[in-house]
Amino acid sequence: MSNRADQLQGGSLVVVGTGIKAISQITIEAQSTIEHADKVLYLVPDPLTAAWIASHNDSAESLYRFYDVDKDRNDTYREMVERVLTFVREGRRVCAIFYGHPGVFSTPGHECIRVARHEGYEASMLPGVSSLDCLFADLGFDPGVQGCQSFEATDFLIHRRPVDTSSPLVLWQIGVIGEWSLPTEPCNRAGLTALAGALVALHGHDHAVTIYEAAQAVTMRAHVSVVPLSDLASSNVTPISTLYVPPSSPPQLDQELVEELFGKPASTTSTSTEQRNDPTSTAKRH
Amino acid sequence: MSSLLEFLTELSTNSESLENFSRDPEGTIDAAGLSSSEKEALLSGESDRVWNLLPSEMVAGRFPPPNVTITITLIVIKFGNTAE
Repeated sequence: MSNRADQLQGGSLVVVGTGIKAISQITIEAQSTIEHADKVLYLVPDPLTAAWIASHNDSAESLYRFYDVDKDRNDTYREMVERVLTFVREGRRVCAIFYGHPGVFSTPGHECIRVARHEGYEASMLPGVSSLDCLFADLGFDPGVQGCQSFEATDFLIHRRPVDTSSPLVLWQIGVIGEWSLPTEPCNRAGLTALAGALVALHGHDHAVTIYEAAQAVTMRAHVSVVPLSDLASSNVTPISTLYVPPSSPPQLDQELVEELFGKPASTTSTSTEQRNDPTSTAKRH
Repeated sequence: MSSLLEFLTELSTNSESLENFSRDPEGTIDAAGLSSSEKEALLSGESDRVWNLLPSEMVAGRFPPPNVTITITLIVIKFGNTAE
């Protein structure tokens, strides 16, 4: 029986991310991969990162041209994947670059790897800095304290995803709810209104939520806007806005299990438990 | 290469330069010899204003949308034809 190496075709693919903040969040391993690739293809949201990529590999080619108004994003992504695979099939060491983390909210990032492996090519992904990583840093939100529920906003709405109101909720792409092609407006108001209604039903009108956009360059700041849910539908939102919804109810404590795990009644262990679930607590856990 | 591009690249890759900019944005921009429009854009903190001053294939304000598509599972129920 032949081993995997015998079965692999000559070309290879590594998918890397450039982070959210232009240039400064590119990892050392991503940089090295870009520099040593035979062919580089990229999809990044700013000209600064594009110029940096071009200066680190002469073969760099943008995938941006596959976007178009009124064009189904699935078609756009299919064409991007096909373009990347063209060079892998030629036997080249290909590096495909997507902004943020290339595997977080990146349909073409995953699809490139799936197709390449299916065709017998070596393919891997290197992690990058996602907007969720930036959100953790900028909002001081640690998912280890109260957990973290995360959904794409359209997916959240149309599938009526069940939500635990005692745990933080992160909703992505709140400005492009229901959009299937390149958005021509910064925000789809009908979609945002539907989202606001669903969240009001869960948390009430007065619950304060945070509209967040990570900084795109070192000279810029993250956009952080705290609004009550009653104002969300009319708030300033863009295609890259993310919504952070803090908990509105306390978590349910399983008294019996607490006693079983900690060897004492819940009343005597409540201090540590409450501290761990208090978003305002600055206590560092290791 | 534009001097704005060089300036931003330097700040993005050198923490000491970035610290100087954070301490004295206007002075750092002036020392780099950037134009008044570049200075205004940088001080505004608005990404589109800065990106618009750099050579780009991208249409202003139309950066790539987030890269995810949602799968909608349609369950089609086919009713049997009782006439058959």
